[in-house]
Amino acid sequence: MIRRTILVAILAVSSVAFAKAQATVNSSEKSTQAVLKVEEETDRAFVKRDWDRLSHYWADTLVYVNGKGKNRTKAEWLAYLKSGAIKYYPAVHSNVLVHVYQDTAVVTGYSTTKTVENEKVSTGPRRFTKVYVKENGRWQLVLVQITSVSKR
Amino acid sequence: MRTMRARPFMATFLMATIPCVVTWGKQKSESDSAIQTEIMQIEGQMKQAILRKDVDALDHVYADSMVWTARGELLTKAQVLADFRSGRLKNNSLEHSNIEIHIYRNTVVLTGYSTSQLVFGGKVLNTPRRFSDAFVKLDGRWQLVAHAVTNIESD
Repeated sequence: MIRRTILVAILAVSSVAFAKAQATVNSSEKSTQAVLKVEEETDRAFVKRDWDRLSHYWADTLVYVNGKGKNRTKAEWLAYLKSGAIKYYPAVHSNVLVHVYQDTAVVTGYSTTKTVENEKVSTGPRRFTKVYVKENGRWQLVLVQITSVSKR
Repeated sequence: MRTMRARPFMATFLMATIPCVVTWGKQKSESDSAIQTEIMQIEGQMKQAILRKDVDALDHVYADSMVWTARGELLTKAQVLADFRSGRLKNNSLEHSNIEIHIYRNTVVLTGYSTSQLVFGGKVLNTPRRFSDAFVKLDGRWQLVAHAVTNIESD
């Protein structure tokens, strides 16, 4: 009788642990998809010059570090974009990886997106590292850092 | 959202002279100053571990899925630790300034300016760079989940 009770208890604990693990995996997958959707929408917003859309997805405390190591705040970066100094063409990214830690996501990738900045054309290549935080139910970008990749 | 200059740190003697600005997210699960102090302590510990080549200490702070972007390469935790362990990557000095910390509940983003001298594959690198560290509280302790470095170039 005691042995049976112990077995039932073990099975119950195992089931809860399994269910919890499944929930974590599902939740993580859902978050990954949500973050990738934000990435797609912001990529489109760059091309369409939809600054309101970008502003919506960027946290007020966003830190942006460009490929030359210059850092800008959200306000500075939006002002620079609005000035027309840089033009974005449709995003060309590869090797995009998303790591989700509950309400935080780290996105890394390789980009050859064409940009024209002060009449200078660039297709990189470059790597990007982004950090998103889920606040008030939506994913917001809090860090972007671009690193140039040497052409081989 | 508040931005303010940080008070002097009591426990982080290594960082005592570094100007530091901290911003807070709207929701807080711990005292902001406690988080700030803890993160600066961890940064100090990581610096010491790198200079002392204490790979086990780095292993403890780096999350298993950490991503490290430097010199145009994306590296895993295992690759970074292997580089430190083999001596392929080593620091002759670690000089950080203009540290800014942004706190978002269980996530911290730290950015700064580095003039550290490092040696990678026998080549000395001392170009000034910007670096970012992202920490997440996992299993009750802050772990580094992302590190990115960009060389500073003139326009």
